[in-house]
Amino acid sequence: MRRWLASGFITAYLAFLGYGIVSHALRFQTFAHPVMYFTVWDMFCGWQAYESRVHLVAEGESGQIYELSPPPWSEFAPFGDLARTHYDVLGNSFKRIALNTLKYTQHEPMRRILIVEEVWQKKYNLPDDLWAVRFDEPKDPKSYFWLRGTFTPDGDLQYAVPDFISHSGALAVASNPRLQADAQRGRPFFAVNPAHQGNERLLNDPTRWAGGDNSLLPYAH
Amino acid sequence: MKLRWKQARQCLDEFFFSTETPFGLAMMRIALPLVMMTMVLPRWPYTRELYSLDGATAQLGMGYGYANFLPEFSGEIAVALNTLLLFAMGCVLIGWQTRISLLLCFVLYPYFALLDSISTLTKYSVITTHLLLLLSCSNCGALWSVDAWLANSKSPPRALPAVFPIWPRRLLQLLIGIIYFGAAITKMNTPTFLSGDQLQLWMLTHINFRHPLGEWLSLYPVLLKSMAYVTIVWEMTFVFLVWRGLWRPWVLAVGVIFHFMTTLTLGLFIFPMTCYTSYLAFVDEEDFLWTRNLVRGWIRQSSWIPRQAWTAFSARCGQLLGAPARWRQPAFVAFPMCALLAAVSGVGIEYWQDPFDVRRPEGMHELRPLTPEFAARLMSPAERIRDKDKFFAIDTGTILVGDLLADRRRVFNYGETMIAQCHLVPPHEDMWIECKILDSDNRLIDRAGNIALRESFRLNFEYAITRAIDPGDYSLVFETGGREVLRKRITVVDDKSTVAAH
Repeated sequence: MRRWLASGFITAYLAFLGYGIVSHALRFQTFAHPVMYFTVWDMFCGWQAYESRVHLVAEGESGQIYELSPPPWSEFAPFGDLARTHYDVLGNSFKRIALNTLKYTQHEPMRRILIVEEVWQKKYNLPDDLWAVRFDEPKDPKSYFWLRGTFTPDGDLQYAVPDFISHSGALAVASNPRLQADAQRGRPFFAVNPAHQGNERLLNDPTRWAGGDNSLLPYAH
Repeated sequence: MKLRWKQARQCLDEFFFSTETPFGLAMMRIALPLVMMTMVLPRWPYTRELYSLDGATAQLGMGYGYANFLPEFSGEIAVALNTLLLFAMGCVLIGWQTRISLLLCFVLYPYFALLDSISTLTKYSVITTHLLLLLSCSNCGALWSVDAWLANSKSPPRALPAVFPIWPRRLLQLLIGIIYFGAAITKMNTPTFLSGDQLQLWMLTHINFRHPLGEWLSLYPVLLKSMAYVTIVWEMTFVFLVWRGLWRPWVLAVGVIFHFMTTLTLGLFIFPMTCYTSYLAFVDEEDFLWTRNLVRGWIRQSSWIPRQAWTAFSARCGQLLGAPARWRQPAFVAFPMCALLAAVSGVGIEYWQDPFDVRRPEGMHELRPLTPEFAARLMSPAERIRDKDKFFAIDTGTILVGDLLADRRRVFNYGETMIAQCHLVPPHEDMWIECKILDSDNRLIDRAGNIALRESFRLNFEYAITRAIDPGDYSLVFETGGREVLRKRITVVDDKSTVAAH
């Protein structure tokens, strides 16, 4: 009986690991369920040429801007010296983190919560001595600030756009006038596309760079 | 056919169901909670904030479309459960109620990790979860543990402690091989991995611990490209070569070096420690006994180890504790009592700690206002990426290896062909890039242009250094859309020894 149980467990476990490998290799159902995270080994699967940080801030009714992350009580830095918000690539946690800071602090009435992304080219991360080895120019770092989204103080989504690099990539594609004209020509005339009703339209509008179905939305602040 | 099938089955039986004393797994049982402490202990004071309804969880399920994949509890319950996890880890370490403790860890550790996908859950927590599951199936508590001591009087002493089927260790070994195989598939699916671009930019990323060697290595993309090939070949072949023969020590040694290099070049600490712990699955009975004999021989020969004092101390402890049998029943009852006590103490300590500072005399914290200057920067209108940020660097040399300059230098001799390589980074649009050569008086000597498509990472310009150019200093000026972006100084000489010196 023990032997049969052990054999069953071995078979099931290896099947689970094997399914992860096949799913990952063929890119089939890789994100179908959270359990897939335990069988898909996609370490260091992505990268960007730009370093990114997130500033979670709130705008008071007086116009003063307040920092929400790191919170005033203490800062938790999970993998070095950065607060946890900087590791949220998808931005799913920003609202809860912001509301949590508001909940446990004294503050004036707030007008809105803002998520601002700061990005800079990674070459500026080189220390000065290594920079001098490779570059003739002096270091001239520049941060780009990009409003990714806003919430009401109650947590209702007001505005959301993709991150700065996705936006810049879309601009690079859209810099082709012929493609832009084709995209405009090929779209039916509807003021609002019924398929994009609800909040999802704010986040997933693949034609946004060419005007999009919801072009009344502000593209940038 | 039937015979072959029988042989295959016999081999499989031998592979999974032969027996051994689980030395390797016992060592893993001791090492794993120590590694887990580095993840769980720093997060414990933030339990309420990271893992409870009173804080701001970030469930992994959200990203997969399962908003409420796991139940969330109030702060007190979350703290009690997280303290219970710490208690269970301690019990695994000393081997007290080992299997129950491992199962507790197997449930609680991934639960908390899944609740906080941004600062707790990583692939090393996934590997740890697998290790916990497989260890809980094994008899890793049969050695060097409280359980083993309590069970001591049950069976007569033998030359070797009890033996058990090997299949949990085999599954652990297969798991490690499959992880590397999956990681290799990831790299194959990432086109920029083999070109070295991904590694170069990861080594310049500042989101992990400091890694100065990585920053330095990012100056040598050819080296990174070579390392990328070695890594992918090693990861693909690990699962096939690690079992026996000459390859085994080599494959494992490369693994040890590989993970050590990830610490130096990427700033990873816990991931290598987790992997080293998992490598203990490759310690078999023979390896352990060989090492033990070696160490024992060394101890016998060394005069500075107080062997007699240690023997006396062990004997004294034995006298104080008495026969293990008298502790068996109290230990069984004490386990749930201690677990309960630990959980309640955890809740009490956390209350006293007041993680959000809401009970301090001056009341809750006030929000920190941003300086007007920084607030103005945050709220400034969005800008387009500057030209100079679309370029990574300009390199000059003469030899291309895999489209990367292998001999980066600035001094060139007559007869050589200089390659000026312009590194670009995405995102950038299709660009017309011009390379001009200016002499020391800023006079135009030559110019060439080419198109860099939006997916291009590199654009090469080749110049034959001929007698048409006088020896001296020159500047390479790179422009796009008529705007100067970067400059690079080079020197033309009429002397091979000068080139060699540079």
